[in-house]
Amino acid sequence: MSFQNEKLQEFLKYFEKQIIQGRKILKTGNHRWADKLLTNLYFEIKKTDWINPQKKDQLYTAINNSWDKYLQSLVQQNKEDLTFDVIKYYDSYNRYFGFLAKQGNYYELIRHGKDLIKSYINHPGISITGLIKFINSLSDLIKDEGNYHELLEYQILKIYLLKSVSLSTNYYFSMNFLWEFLSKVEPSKRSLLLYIFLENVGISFQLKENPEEFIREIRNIMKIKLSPELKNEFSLLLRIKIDENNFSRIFTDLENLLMYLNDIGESRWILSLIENFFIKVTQYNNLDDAVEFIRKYIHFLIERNRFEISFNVYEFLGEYFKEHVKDTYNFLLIEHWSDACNNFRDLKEKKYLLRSLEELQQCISTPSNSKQIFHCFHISDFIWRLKTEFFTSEKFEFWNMMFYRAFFEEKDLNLCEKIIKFLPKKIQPLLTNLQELQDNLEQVQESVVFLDQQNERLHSIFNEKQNALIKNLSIRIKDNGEIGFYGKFDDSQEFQDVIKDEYWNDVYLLKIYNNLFWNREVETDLSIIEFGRLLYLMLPRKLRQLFSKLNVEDLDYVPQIYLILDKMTIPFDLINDGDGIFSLKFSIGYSIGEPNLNKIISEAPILPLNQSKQKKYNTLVIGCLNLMLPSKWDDAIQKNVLMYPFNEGVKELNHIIQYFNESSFIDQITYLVQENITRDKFLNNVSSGNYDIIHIIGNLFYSETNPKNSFFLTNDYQIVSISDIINVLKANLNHKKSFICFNVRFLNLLGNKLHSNLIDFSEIFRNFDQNEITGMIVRNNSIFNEDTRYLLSYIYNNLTGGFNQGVSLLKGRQIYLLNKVIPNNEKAGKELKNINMQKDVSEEILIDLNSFLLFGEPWKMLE
Amino acid sequence: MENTNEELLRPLILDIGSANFRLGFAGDDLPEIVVPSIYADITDPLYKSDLISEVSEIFISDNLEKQLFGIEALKYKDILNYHEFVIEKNYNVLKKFFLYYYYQLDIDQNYLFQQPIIVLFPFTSSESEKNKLQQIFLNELNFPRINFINFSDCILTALGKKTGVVINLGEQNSFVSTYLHGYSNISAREYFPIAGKDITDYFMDLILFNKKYKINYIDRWIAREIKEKSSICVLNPQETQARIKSGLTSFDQEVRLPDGDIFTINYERIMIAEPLFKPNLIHLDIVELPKLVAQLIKSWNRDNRSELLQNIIISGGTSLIKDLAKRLKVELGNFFSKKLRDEIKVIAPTGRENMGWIGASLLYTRGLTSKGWIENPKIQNKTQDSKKILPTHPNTLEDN
Repeated sequence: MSFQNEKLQEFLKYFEKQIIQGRKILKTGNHRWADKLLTNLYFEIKKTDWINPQKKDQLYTAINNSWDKYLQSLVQQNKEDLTFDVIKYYDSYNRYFGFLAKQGNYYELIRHGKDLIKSYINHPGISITGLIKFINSLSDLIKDEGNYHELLEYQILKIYLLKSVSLSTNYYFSMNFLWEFLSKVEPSKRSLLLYIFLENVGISFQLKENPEEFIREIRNIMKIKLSPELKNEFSLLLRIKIDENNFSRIFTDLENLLMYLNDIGESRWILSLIENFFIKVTQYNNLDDAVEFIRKYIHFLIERNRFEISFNVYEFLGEYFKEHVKDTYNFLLIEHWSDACNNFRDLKEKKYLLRSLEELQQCISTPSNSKQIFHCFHISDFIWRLKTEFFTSEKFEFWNMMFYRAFFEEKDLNLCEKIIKFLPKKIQPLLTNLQELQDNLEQVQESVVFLDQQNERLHSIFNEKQNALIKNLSIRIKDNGEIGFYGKFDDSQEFQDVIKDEYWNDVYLLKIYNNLFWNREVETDLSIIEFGRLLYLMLPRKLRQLFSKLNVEDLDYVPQIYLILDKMTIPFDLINDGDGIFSLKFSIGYSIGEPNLNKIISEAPILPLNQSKQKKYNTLVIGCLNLMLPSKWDDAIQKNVLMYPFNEGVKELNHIIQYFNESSFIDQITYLVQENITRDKFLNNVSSGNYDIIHIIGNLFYSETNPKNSFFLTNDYQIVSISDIINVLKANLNHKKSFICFNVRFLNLLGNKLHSNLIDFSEIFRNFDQNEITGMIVRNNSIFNEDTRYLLSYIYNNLTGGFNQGVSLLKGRQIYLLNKVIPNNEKAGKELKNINMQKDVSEEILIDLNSFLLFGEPWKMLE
Repeated sequence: MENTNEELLRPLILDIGSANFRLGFAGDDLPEIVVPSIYADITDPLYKSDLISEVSEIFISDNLEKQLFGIEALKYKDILNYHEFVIEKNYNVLKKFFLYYYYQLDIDQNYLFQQPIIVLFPFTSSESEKNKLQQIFLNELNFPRINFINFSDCILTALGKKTGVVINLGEQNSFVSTYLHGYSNISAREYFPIAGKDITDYFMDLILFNKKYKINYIDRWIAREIKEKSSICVLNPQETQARIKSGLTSFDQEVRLPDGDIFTINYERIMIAEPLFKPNLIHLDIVELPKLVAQLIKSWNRDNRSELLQNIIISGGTSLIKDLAKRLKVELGNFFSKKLRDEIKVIAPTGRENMGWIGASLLYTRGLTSKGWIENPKIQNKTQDSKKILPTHPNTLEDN
């Protein structure tokens, strides 16, 4: 099921192509064309109104990353070759800044500006005059953005670089701002706050080894240019000294001050205090205490909705970890940013989540030991889950997630072997001995500590019902990917929940599905059984836990799954939980769109079913359509030929007529064949309410623009649309609910055969009112052969024999498989569990087996 | 050692073309240096921010080399504004440019600035330009002597001819000169106002104003590259254009721009060279190239025309347009009798982009450059053992 519409998918493909091209051009140093391409791409995204703001932000970030990564590559080259391509470097900065300005993304612009200054302020080759000019223009931007605290920092920096005070507008503005702030603080605390602020400027830009010296120098330069009020505060700076001995006393005072600053809304100054405390705690105590301290305040800020400042604290700590933790695989940094992602995921505004996610992705490096491998894949799974809700995932992220779930959660080593080749090249060599890795897994898992254990807690809600089994399960998957479920345990206790930490996103899975069934997109060499495993692993862990409780072995009834989907792409019948595919285990039915809200579940049927009350059913067979008309003149053979010949349909018709004739459960059969298939007869018969089963064979012309208007061509040059059928079913005076079998081949409006496309076809069937029919069996593909015909007979056998429609389909498939795989002379005593799905069952059989899908409530029976 | 002395003291041949600059020792087969005649200033980027002070100012300190020449400038053509010093007549840059590449010849310190200079000089250049070059090479760079030799002479020499019509189609200047048995006269040569740059402009107009391409931007370098790779002359452009319109695809050529945009050009390819034959296409009210050539040939005695018509030589970058020689032959035929028409031979020698320089080198080898030297008066007056003050590297020279 894909929840991104085709337009978006198409655009994303185009976007990806353009980004790759842009990066290629950048690599060649062609800034002019790269800039043109990336800027055009930005405006293309901006002008669309069908991409949501989160997605747009994500796409903008990808464009920004192109510049960012290119800039980084220039610096690396510089380090390696000891040459500095100044021209490329400054020009890409200028263009990147210009690009950010076009976006109005001044936050990123200012951040990169600060990074640039910090990186080169102590570089011997730079021009201080140029740097000051840059600081001046950056200060103007900062002021426009209303970030006066940062403006003040830059004014101090400028004074230090110039060694004098330039009496500019920004200078006066900053000093006024400083005094306005200090005047809100108790006089005894003012100079201390000022001291901490100045100290931070010195540390942040690494201006002097000794912060006290820096403060003294700044004070000396500024003292004659200060206003009288500030002069007093600056003069008191010399009396302040913070060292190991007095830090704990000052710390308590300042913690109180921090609370006060929060109360008066001066949150930006809180950041100064926190940063300063962190450095001092690290210096006087240790890093662990400092991290604990800072995390306490992150949560303090988040609880008080100070998200911007809390994000800044995350950034500060992230930078610290980046600089000071020298491990090639930086656990602390990765956990730090995943914690940030967790904390920002629920905000309505996603920018902090997006930034945190970007940081998280950037800090993941290639793991080198089993502990790191586990951690890396665990985080990949986390990123996947996070992205399913808001952002587009990359292909490698899909496979990383799959590997994590296959290896660490499901321990399916065979599948892992298949997945490895799709993982990033750098990781593949680390996974040569999966068995050894698996053997040490428990130990490894214990050794990795995650800062946030929320995920684990999430899965524990069913722990109290560890031994309970589930009879019925209804799963609702919305268009946005949100998954909800409702069901009953075998003790009739109900459960209901919505999965919050993962959304359904089957974009990559759909490609594999198309490859497997239709060879439309070459992707993998996976088998259908393995695909079923992937489909299973795609499910959120909570759902997988639920499925494990649908254990057929211990039940005397068939568990049923009712899937309510907004759009259908992949049949869930193919899911393989490691114990078999669902199409052979459960009674499954689909509802496309909204289900009957008053009845989304029914008791599962107890086996064996009571079939004593044998009933007989009336049947209507319509087909095979288009055997007479329309036709066109073929000049080569000098006669009219059929335009849409459907030879397999004729076989279907003959088979079904013979089957119904021989069936003891059929009372009356009405055939509409040849010239009798007229629009009136078609609709009159359907609306008569006389038939329990309506079987339609022929070509269904699919209307992409209005699926409801997809139609059959009748032999009187008329059409019968799906809407017509729905309308006459509603008008049925007998209120008889028919079971309809659409044994049809899909053609487009030009008459070309269509590949199976469940997204489209399911659109047709979502329009049927489930109250007006028993259910519908629909062909999932256009494979018409003897096997599928027999499968259909088995389904009808069960249906007319008294089984509900879900079980009829299930049992039909089971019998078909047994007959197909086990030779007649060996059938005695053989059960489904004796069949090795991997070895004994060919791909063709599996495709035939899953040829039919049930749309409707699986518990319903023929009336 | 003597041989080495002789080798290093051979004259240097300089071809200062508007598109390319060629430098090498006389007697060599090919110039050692062939680079585009462009320069760029690292403080003059294409992109200028109006929002934030240029980041360049942080990195460009006073002691950093600010000008880039030739290949170095070309490397940054998509980042910096590049300039063509020949077109700009910027002699200050020419001097730096020359020095930059002169030092790349790797001449021993003891022999620096001791080589005579031969400059290829088209007749279209003025006396003041000649004086300026003389000033640079003799007075400022202190080379011992300089000789200006005619560009067309060199072309003919390179082909071993004394009679012929040289049609030089350069990037900035085009001209036609005629020679008979080694002699020319003022009425037998003419400047032709359409050159490579005009054709590039015309091509850019064809692309940018054609709505079917939806191309709103194409830079000059790319246009020039496409022009050089794709242009083709056909004998009957109107007819070909009509056939293309009615579906002929043999002229289709795919052009991929750096941003991945692809478009197919067809009739534009045949139109590129058309201004040479129909100057009004670029709004010039002048005679077309074939007519000009015919007029110049006709300025000679009737008896000599046949000899001239058999030796029509095209040279210069724009002459690389495919099948230009064929078209020229046909068009020229319109101005001559049937008998002469059959004798027309337009020669498009291979390697004609360096033909002038090669010709000059051959002239030197054959000892035909001994006349016309202008001596450096300062050196003439100096004693043999006085120490020479060498000019410094171009980037340390102060602007005049």
